[in-house]
Amino acid sequence: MTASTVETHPSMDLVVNGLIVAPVLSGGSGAGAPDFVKKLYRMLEEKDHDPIVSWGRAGETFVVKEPNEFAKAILPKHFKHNNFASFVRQLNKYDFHKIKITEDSAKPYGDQAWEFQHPKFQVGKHELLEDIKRKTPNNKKLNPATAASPEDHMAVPDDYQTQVDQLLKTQADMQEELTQCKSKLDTQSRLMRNILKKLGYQSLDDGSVVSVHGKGSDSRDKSIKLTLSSKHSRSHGSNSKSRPEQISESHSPPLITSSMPMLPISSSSVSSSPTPFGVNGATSDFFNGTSSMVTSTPFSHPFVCPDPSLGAPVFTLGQLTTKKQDFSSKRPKLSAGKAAIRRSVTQKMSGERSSSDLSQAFPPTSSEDDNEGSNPIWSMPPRVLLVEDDDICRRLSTRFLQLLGCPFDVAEDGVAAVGKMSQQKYDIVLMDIMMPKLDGVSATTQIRQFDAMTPIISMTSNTTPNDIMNYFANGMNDILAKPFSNGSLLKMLEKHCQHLRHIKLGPGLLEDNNSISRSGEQQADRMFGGVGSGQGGMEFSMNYNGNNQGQNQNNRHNQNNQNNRMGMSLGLGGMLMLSNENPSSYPGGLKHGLDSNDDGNYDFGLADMSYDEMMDQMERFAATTQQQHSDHSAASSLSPDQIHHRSLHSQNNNTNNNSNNSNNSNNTPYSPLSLSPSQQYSPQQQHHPIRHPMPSSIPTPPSSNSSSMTLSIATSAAMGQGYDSGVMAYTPGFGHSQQQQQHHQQNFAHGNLPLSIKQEGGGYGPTFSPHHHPQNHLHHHQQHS
Amino acid sequence: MLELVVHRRTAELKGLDADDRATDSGTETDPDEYDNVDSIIDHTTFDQLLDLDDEDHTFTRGLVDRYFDQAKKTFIEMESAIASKNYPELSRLGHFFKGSSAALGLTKIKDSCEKLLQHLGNLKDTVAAKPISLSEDETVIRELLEQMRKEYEQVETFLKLFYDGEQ
Repeated sequence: MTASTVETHPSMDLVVNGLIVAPVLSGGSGAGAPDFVKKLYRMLEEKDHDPIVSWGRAGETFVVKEPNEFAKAILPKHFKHNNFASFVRQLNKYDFHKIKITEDSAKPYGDQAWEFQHPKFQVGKHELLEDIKRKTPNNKKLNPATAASPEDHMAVPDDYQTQVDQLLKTQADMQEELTQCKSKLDTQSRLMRNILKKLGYQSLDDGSVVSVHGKGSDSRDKSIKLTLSSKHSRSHGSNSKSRPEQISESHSPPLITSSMPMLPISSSSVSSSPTPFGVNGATSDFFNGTSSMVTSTPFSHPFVCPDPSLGAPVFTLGQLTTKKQDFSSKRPKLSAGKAAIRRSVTQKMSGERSSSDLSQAFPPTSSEDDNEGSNPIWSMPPRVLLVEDDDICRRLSTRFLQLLGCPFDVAEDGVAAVGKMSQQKYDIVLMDIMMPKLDGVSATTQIRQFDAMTPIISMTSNTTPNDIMNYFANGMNDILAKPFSNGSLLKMLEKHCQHLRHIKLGPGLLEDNNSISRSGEQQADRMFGGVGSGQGGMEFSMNYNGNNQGQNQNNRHNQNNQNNRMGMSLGLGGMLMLSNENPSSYPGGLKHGLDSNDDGNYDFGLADMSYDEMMDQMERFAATTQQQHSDHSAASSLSPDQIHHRSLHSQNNNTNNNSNNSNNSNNTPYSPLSLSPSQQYSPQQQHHPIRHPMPSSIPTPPSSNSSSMTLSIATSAAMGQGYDSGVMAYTPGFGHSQQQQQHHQQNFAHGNLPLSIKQEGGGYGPTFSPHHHPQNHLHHHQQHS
Repeated sequence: MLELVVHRRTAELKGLDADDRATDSGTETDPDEYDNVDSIIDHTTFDQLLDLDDEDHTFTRGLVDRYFDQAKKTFIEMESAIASKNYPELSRLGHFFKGSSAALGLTKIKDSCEKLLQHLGNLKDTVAAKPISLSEDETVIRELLEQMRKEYEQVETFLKLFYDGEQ
C-alpha cells in the first residue's frame, strides 16, 4: 500500500498506514467513521498483525486467526483492552456479522479463526467506513443488514399497544364489576340500616344494637341488647336484627361477615358463657313480646353455633321473618327451639364423637367467611328453578332470590320447567301449580320420572288437604302457600337446602345438620354414624289439621292451614328432631318450645336425655300415635320419601308422647319426636326402621272426611325449621285401612324429602336408600292402624 | 315496625306535616287512622315488598306499574270472555289476577277474584243442570267484575299516590 497524503479533517484522527484516508471522511457527515471502526481499520492495516488478524481473502471480511493472541497482543494496542468478547460485542454493535463456520466449509484460516464481515468494511474502501454506524433502532431501519428489524420494530409497538388496550379494557371491566359489587353491597347495607331504623334500633359504634326508643317490650329490649348473659338470650338479639349475620364472640371476627358492618353486634354482647344451648327462652320471649316487631324482622333464624375456636357461640341468622304476628311469634320460637334442640341433641351426641370428627366436619370458618362474605346464610347459594306463569309473582320471587344471592332460572310453565330440569341440576324448584300448558302437579310427575332428588316446592293458593295430598302424592316435597312472605320463602330455601347452609358449630357440639360441609358423605356419616353420631334422627310429628273438623280441637293447624305449620318429617336416617313442642308439655324434657303457647322458656331437655332415652320416648310416642291413627281414617297421600306418617295428633300431641289419646292429644301442632315405627330411624338403631321407600304410584286420595290429619313428620335436625312454611307431609296410611295404608306406602312417590340429604358431595345430605327402609316396619306400622 | 313506615307514607299521602315524615324514628301513628287504606291493601304483605326495595323503590314501582298494565289488560280480556261465555278462560284470568293481586297484598281484589272463581266453579257444576241460570250467572259475574274494577281503581289511586308521593 502506498502511503499517501491524507487530508485530515481537524476532527479526525486519521493516521493510517498505507491507506488513503478518504476525504469522504471529512467531507461526509463530518462525524466520520466511529472510532471503533477506525481503529479496526487501522489495526487491519498493520501488516505485522497479519498472522493474527488480517483481511479476508476477498478483502470483504477480516479474520481473527488467533483469538488468544489477538486478545493478548493486538487488542490492547488498538483498543486498550484485551477482552476478545468485548471486541466481538463491539463488532456486533456496529453491525458486523460473524461468518459462521460450518462443518463442511473450509477452514482456510484455522480452526479457531473468527471471521467478521460488514458490507461497509472492506479493504481499500476506507470511505465506506463512515457508513458503519452503531445499531440503533433507527439505523436498523436504514440498514439493510438488519432488514428484519423494521418489521419487528413496527410490530413491537403494535404488540404493546394491543396489550395495553387489553389491559385497559380489563381494568375497565374490573372497575365496572367493582362498582356493581359495591352497589349491591350498598343496597344490602342500606336495607339493613333501614330495617334497623324501622325497628327503632341503632347500631352503635361498639357494635351493639340498642333500641332507639324503647319500642317494644322489655323482653325485646333485653334481647336486643344482645347480652348473651344467659344461655337463653343469646340468639335473639340477633333475631331482631337485620339481614343475616353472624354473631360471635368478639374475638372471632372472621365469623362476622365483613359485609355486614353493622353487625358485629354480637361482638360486644356475646357473653362468655360457653353453653351451647343458647337459643331458647329469651328468643321466645323476644318474639312473644314483640310480635309486632317481628313482623318486620328480617332474617332472624338463629342458630347458635359455638365458635369452634373459642367455644363461644356463633349465630348464623338466616331468616326473613315478616309474618304476621302469630306466625312470627311462632316461627322464631320454632327456629330457636329447633336450633336449640339440635344443639342439645348434638351436644348429647357429641360426647360420643371425637372432636376431631367435628373439626373435620367444620371447615375453618374463615374460609367460609371469606367466600361468602356477603352471603352469610349460604356457604353456597342454592340454584333455584322458579316456575311461575304470572309475571308479577315471578318478579317478586326473582327479586327475593336476587337479594338472597341465589342464582336462579325461570320457567314460565310446566313444559318449560320439565325441560329445564332435564337439562340442569337445581338445588330446589319453586313450582307454581296453576299454569297454562302444563300445570305444576303434572310437571312434577314428569320430572320425578327422571329426578327424584331435587326438592320441588309447590307454590299455590290452593291448600286444601286434598290439594296438599295431591301435591305430595305427585312428588312434591313441600308447600309454600301463596301469597308467601319473604320469610317463608327463605325458610323454604333453608329447609330444603340445608346442606348449603352456612353454619358453624363449635367443636363441642355435634354439628347440627346444618353442616358447613357440603359433603354428602360427611353428612351421611354423621347421620348414620351410630348412636353417637351427629344427630340422631330427630323426628317429630306435626299436627296438620286439614279441615278442622273438630277432631283436634286444639289443632292450631286449622288456622294455620295456610301458614303451613307443618313440619316435614324428614327423618334423616335416624335424626332426632324435636319439633316445636311446648316444652312444658313434654315430659321427659323434650321441650322445644316452638309453641305459641310457650312462654319462652325453653328448656331443651334433650340435653338431659341420652339418645336412648330419646328414642324410647319417641317410640312411646309413636306407639301412642299409632293407636291414634287407628282411630282415624284420615287418609293422605303421602309424598314419597317423606318420612311422614300421619299421626293424628291434636294440639296436645306433644304432651303425650306417652299418653295415649285417641284424641290426638298433642297440644302443639308439632308433636315431638313422633317416632312411629314408620318413621325414620338411624340405621344403627336396629329397632328403628328407616324411612319408607319411595313409592311410585299416586296414592288414592284420602278416603275419610276427617280433616284433622295429623301429620307426624319427622324432620331431620338439619331441617330444623319450616314449620311455618306450610310444609306438610302426610304419611299415608295412618288411619287408613290396612290396604289403603299399604297402598299408600307404596306411593311414596318421589325422591327427595326436603330434609333428605343426598349422599353426594354437596348434596342434600343422607338419602335413605330403599334398603334402609325395612318394609316390615311399614307393615308393622300398618298393623297398628 | 314496618307499619311505621307505611304509616309514615300514608301520612305523606295525606299531606301531613313534613316533619312527621322527616323523623326516622317517627312517632307511632295510630293504625286506626288509616283504616280505609288498610282495607285496600294488606300492609303486611305490601311492606314485605318494600323490604325488597332499594331506597327509591324502583323495584316495587316497576312491579306496581306492571300490575297496572296487567290489570287493565285482564279486565279487557275478562270482558270479552264473559261476552263469549268463555268461562274457562275467565277462570284462568281470574286465577291469574288473583295471584298477582295477592302477591302485592291487594286483598280486596284478591277476594273478589276468589268470589268470581268460586262462582265460576259453581257454574261449571251447575251449567249442565241449569242452563237457564247462565244468564243469571252472567249477571252475577258481571257484578263481580264491576266490583273488582272499582276496587282496582281504589288500589290504583292509592298506589299512585304512594309512589308519586315518594318523589
